[in-house]
Amino acid sequence: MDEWISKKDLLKETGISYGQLYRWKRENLIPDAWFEKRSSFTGQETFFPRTLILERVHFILTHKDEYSLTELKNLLTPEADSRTYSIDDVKTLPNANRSALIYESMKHTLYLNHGQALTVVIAANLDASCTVSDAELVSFMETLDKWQNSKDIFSMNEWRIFAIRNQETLFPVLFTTGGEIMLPEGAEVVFSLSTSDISRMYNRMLNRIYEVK
Amino acid sequence: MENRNDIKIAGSGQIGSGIYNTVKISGSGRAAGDIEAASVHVSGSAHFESIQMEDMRVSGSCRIDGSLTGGIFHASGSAHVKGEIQADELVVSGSFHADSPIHARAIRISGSITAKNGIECEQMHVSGGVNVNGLLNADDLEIKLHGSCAVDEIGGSSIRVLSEESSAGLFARLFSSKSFRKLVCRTIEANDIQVENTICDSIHGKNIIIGKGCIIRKAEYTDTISIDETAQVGEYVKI
Repeated sequence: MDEWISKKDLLKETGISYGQLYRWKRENLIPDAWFEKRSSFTGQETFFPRTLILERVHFILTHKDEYSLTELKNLLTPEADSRTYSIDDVKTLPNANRSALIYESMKHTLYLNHGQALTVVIAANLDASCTVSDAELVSFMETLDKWQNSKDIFSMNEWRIFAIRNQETLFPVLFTTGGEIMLPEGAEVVFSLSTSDISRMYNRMLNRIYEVK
Repeated sequence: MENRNDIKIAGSGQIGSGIYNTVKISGSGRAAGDIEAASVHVSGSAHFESIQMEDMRVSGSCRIDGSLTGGIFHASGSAHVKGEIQADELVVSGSFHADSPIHARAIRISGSITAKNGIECEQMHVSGGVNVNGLLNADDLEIKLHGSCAVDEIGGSSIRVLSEESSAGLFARLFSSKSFRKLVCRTIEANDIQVENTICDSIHGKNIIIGKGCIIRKAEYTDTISIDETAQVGEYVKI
């Protein structure tokens, strides 16, 4: 199955109208980033990531009669500093007990905002996927908090968070869609090269010594 | 409890950034920084950074280098906003120029609006000219053409583009020839579409009425279509 669906096919498959699609776009229920324009032989057409859009439209259609569009938007992407959760409730989430306990001892707080709760549950997921020490969980969650506070990473689309293990060290890294990298405290990028620059910078240099021979 | 002051410039002067109750500029005024005010009145010309207001009236000319947020913005004359606009209502008699995206509930223009980065609103009524780079996304859009309009894309629920020759006044009819009253755009997508004097690459909708003076490459409809005999439509297909 194609991973993209055209706007026309989307309307046909879901039965929604242009009016609804454009209204949901205005309300940010469908992120602008999902609208991808492509040139086809019939002209310019807009495509969406198939799974994401079908899930989203289904969600909106299911809930639009009980919630207002603004309420729906807050359900889908709550503002990081809106909402409060109690740490005790977060502990009850799957695999979250350990990371919640550690976060509690880090921050000495009983309540978390949405951004902090996301940090804890993401760390819980890491904890469930591999072996992490307490110190590594502390550093992972501190890094997520730092990134969230500086760049609101949890609202971004398609950025990717990695945790890299190299023997004894666990290293969180984030790649943005803009080609930038975010690092934990204490780490810095000491070298960066685009492979597009190899020809200009290095091949020419090597050409010089090759020709001489 | 905030203590908001009123501030007034008569003649020419400058006001500092801050939170005010009423800001009144009669003559020529400049704001040195961002302003938040319940009400802003300009009679003459004013140059602002960012403004947050509940009610703003400009009679003359106004330039906002920052963003414009808040309630109702009324301009009679000309207004140029560089930053993003997030307002309840924009009512303009004259010309309005926006460099950044416009988000409003209702927009009413008698004159011209130029938006360099798209418009999103629930209801938009224009009597005059519209120029939009990007998407004009309006639930209910009505354009009464008095000049040449260009919009990249139009999307929404109900779109009406009408050429107002018959009810245009004598002045307008003397100085604006029929050939200038047109809308050029790439696509129009909505539930109900009615267009006149529109040159468009493709129209997609539920019910489409293509009126006089239109040149359309392709129209796709799901329910009904009606095409005026003077309109040129490359192809139309029910989908």
